[in-house]
Amino acid sequence: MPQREPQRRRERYSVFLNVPYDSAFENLYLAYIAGLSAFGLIPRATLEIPTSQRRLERILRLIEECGYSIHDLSRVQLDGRAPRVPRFNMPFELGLAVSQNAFNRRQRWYVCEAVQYRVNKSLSDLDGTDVRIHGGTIRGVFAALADVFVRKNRQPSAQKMYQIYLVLRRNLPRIMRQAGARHPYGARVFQDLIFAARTEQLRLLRNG
Amino acid sequence: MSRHVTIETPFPTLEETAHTLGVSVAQAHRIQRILGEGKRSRRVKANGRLRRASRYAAKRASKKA
Repeated sequence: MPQREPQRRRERYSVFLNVPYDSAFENLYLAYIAGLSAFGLIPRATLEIPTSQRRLERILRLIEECGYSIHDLSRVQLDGRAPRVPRFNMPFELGLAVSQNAFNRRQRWYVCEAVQYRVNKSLSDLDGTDVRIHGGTIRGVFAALADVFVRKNRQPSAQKMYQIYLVLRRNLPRIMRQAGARHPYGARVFQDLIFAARTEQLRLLRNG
Repeated sequence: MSRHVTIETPFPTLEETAHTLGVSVAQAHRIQRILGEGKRSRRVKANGRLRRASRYAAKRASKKA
């Protein structure tokens, strides 16, 4: 079937990235993009979806398009601005991914946290699931990703991931300026960061 | 849930990345140019430093002579 193969290939490349979109998380956001790109994977996120009434439907379709998903549950505290509420988007999207896997076994999902054992309290339904602890650090994110993904050949080192991260960090202001964005959590900036990471990853691959 | 994922697919090209994201390859090439510009400007800065250093060296040499 000619149309199935590209779709399956796209699924194998795509990783649904479920992370908080706030300024305190910016470094880890770049670290996730750099780390996943180093493994030859393509991050996908709800950032790509324009705000509309059919948002939930499109989130479901995006999750379905991805072979894997990474859920960072490190932002469980109350929002700083009034009304002060916890952020439910990330656990909700984790639930969608879990149900996706339960019904058609198509997606593998992984959970990351900053603090050990906190998720046992905040989301005890996950008891018995391996939760990767990154400690809120860039290197912790790289270690968590290296714990989840293994390449059969050319396994990327933490140094390579960090090199990609530095390129993203250095070029972020220019990418945001070009996109006319004030923060990195927009569709255009997200896609541009993925292209920047891919360009650097391919350059590192060429240079050995 | 398995602990690891073994990736066997080859590294995606920029074109495949653009296709997966559902955007034009031109956007990827624009970013390539942005990254290239960064490198060029660093080279230009280095050349500028080199030219300035050589100019001062030449001036010092002419004073000695």
